[in-house]
Order: sequence, then structure tokens, then C-alpha cells
Amino acid sequence: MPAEQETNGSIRRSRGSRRRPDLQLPQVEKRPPRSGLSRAEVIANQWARVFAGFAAALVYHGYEDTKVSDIIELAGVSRATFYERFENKEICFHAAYEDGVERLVRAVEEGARNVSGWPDRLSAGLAAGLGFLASDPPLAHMLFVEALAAARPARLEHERSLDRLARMLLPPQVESDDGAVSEETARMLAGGLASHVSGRILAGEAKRLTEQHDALLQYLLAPALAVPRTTDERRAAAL
Amino acid sequence: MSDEPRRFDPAGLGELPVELALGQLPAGKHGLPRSFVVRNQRLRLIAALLRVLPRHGYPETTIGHITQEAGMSRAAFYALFSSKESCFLETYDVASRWLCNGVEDAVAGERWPQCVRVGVGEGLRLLAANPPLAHLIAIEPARASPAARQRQQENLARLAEILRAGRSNRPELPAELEEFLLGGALSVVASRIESDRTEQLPEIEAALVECLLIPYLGRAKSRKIVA
Repeated sequence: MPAEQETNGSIRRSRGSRRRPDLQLPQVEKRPPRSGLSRAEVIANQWARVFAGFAAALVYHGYEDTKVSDIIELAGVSRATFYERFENKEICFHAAYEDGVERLVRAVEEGARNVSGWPDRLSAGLAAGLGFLASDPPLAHMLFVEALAAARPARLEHERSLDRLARMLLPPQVESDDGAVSEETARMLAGGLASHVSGRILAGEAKRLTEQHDALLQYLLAPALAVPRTTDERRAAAL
Repeated sequence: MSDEPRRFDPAGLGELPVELALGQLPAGKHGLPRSFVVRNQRLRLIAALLRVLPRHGYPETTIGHITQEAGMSRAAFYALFSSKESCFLETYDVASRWLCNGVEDAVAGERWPQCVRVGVGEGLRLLAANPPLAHLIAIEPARASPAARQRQQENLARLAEILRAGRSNRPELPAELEEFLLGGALSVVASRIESDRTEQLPEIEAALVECLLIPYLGRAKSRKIVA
């Protein structure tokens, strides 16, 4: 970014190898003094701001170079508030990641609710998930790019999320043997889905993730659709 | 193809007599052309980074770790690489080229879909026999930089060509299906490596080949190829 961008109100310029010169420095939001909130609401609000601040800092600095000072500056909370709840950057990342995954899963489940038939449910859930991610690019970046760059416990957590995604991609087991998509296939599809989404986000297209819906649905359905459908085809395949 | 999977040794890749390539160059005048010396030094730093990466991970690895492992000075490092990232990118390139060449050599002359089974098998065996290489290829690019991720995508696209030959059977398949499937396969491989099961990678050959072939052949036929 040109030097004139470095004004009061913007966070420090990145020094690390992951710096993104193509991105605007995130701006620190001025917050009005809190009014009429309970202690619990204030705390919940502070955490949400810390998570959002972390995600914003990650987009610009990357996991390796993000400092706690960047997070608290973008979140508009004090260092003491941060350390009251989070021992360090790793623990905060874990909490922010978990919170993001839960919100994504809720959006997907919400989107697929009341939709009947497996391909339509998959399509609706995918649309809702992509829409949720497109509405919050820094969060999408955290969940699909930085989770792979973080420390090992966070990467293992990401593995568990992919297993969970795989289970969501499994069609109902209506046929006993060759009609069903196996767990291994589902896990591979989940990995492919995450890797594709990650690629789009890295290409700066997080806001346009919903455009990927049709292509992604085609990929996700390809194994199921390749299954021979008719009894004759199944018999032929078994020979 | 021998039974024993080949070992990846960057220090042995130099165009030097073996005894020089493997060890340090003799000090003082050795009469070797400058280009040989530079290449030997670069490969020694690459070999050193490859060894220290699994220990520290990219973010925690320092140039001090690399130079100490290589038995070279910081000045020598900076004479050859501008940064940790540039050293990483070259290490990644040397390693991924070696792996892709190995897979492509193995599948040469094989027909589709047998070539998919052979290629996956060879790739998994090479990774299993070279845990630091497996760690570098599957885990670290996402941690290093967007440029490293980009190169990982390029390598997936290169290997995707092997899979793409199966398209003739099903022209209606989505355009980037192969990259998508290989991205998924890499994710499954990374998951094994993260859980310290690198040496058991060949165990997933059948499941992986089956998954890769299903979109082209359906499940029953894919299973027959694997059996």
C-alpha cells in the first residue's frame, strides 16, 4: 500500500513474508461508549470483537506475523481484557476458529432445514454455507486458509472439522452396498471442497464464493451420479 | 522400479562427484568451477531446511536453524537466498519436482485407469519412504506463504493430467474435477501425516484410488481396478 495509507487509525504495516500488499490495511473502528448493557453482554460483545479483530488481522498479516497487539487494536479491547480470557494467540485462535465453525454449521443447517431430498438438501446447505462465508471474507479466510497455517493443535481441530463436513456430505444410506458413497470418499470430497474454497479465498474472491455453487455441487454429486443406476448396469458392473 | 522406494536427498542432486555432493566442499582452492560450488551450497541449505522443518514448522524455523544444520554461515545463506521464504520456495520446488517426476516415470506406458493406481501407489510409497519430504509437500506450503500455496496448486494441476485421461468415458464431468479430486486426496494424505502415520501411507492406496476413479467409473468398477 502507498505510504499515505499509513495514517492514524490504521494498524501497523506488515513486515512478514505473508504480507498482502494488494490489501487495504484494516481500519480500526471507533466504538461508541457502551450503554445499558449487562456485564454478560459486554463480555460476549468483547469476545465477538476479539474474534472479528483476529480474523481481520490474519487477512493482512497471516497467522505467523499476527501479534496480540494487532488483535486488540482491531478489536478495540484492552490488553488486560484479552489476557483475562485468552492465555495467548494460539488459545485465542482456537476459540475464534471454534466459534466460526459453529456459526458456519448453524448457517448450513438453517439453509438445509425443511428441504427434502438429498441432492436438494446438499444444494441448499452448500448455498447457505457459501453465502455465509461470502458475507464475512475475513472469517472465511480464517477458517479455510489460516487454520492450515496455525499451530498443530489448531490444524488437528481443522482435521476434525473436515471429518464433520464429510459426514454432512454423506447421502442417506438408502442402498446397502454399491449405491452409497463411502466415508473415505466423503472425506476426500470434503478435503477437495475445502481446498477449492481456500483457493478462491486466496485469489481474493471470498465475496464471490456463491458463484462457485454450481461447480461445487457438480463435484460433490459426481461420485453419487457415477454410480450405475439401473439393475442392469449394476449387474454389468458386478461382472 | 525397484522394490526399495528411492530416497530424496537434495545434497545428492548436484552435478558433482558423489563424495563432494554429499559432504562439505574442501576448504580453500579445490579447482571446482564457481557454479558447482554455488549449486552445492544451495542444495546443502535446501537439505538442511528439509531436515529442520518437521522439527520446528515453517513459522518457527529460523535462518539460524538452517545455517547451523547446514554447517554454513549466515552470510553464506544470504549470499544465496534473500529470505527464509525464498529458501523455502526453492526447497519446495526441488522436492515437488522430484516427487512429480517419480510419479510420472512410474505411470509412463500404463493405460488408464491402471495408471491411476500405479501413480497413486508410487506417490504414496515415495512419501512414506521420505517423511521430511512428505511433511514439506503436504503440510508446510499452507503455512509458508500464498506463493507456496500457488505452487502447490500448480503441482496438483500437473498430476491432474494423469487422472484427466479418464475423461473420454464421461465428457459431461465438471471442468476442474481433477484438481478438486487431487486437492481432496492431498487433504487426506495431509491428515495422515499430521497424525504421525506417514510411514503407513501406502495402506490408503486402495481407498484413495477407488475414490479418485468413482466419478469416472462408478463404485463397482473402481473397486475392481483396486482389487
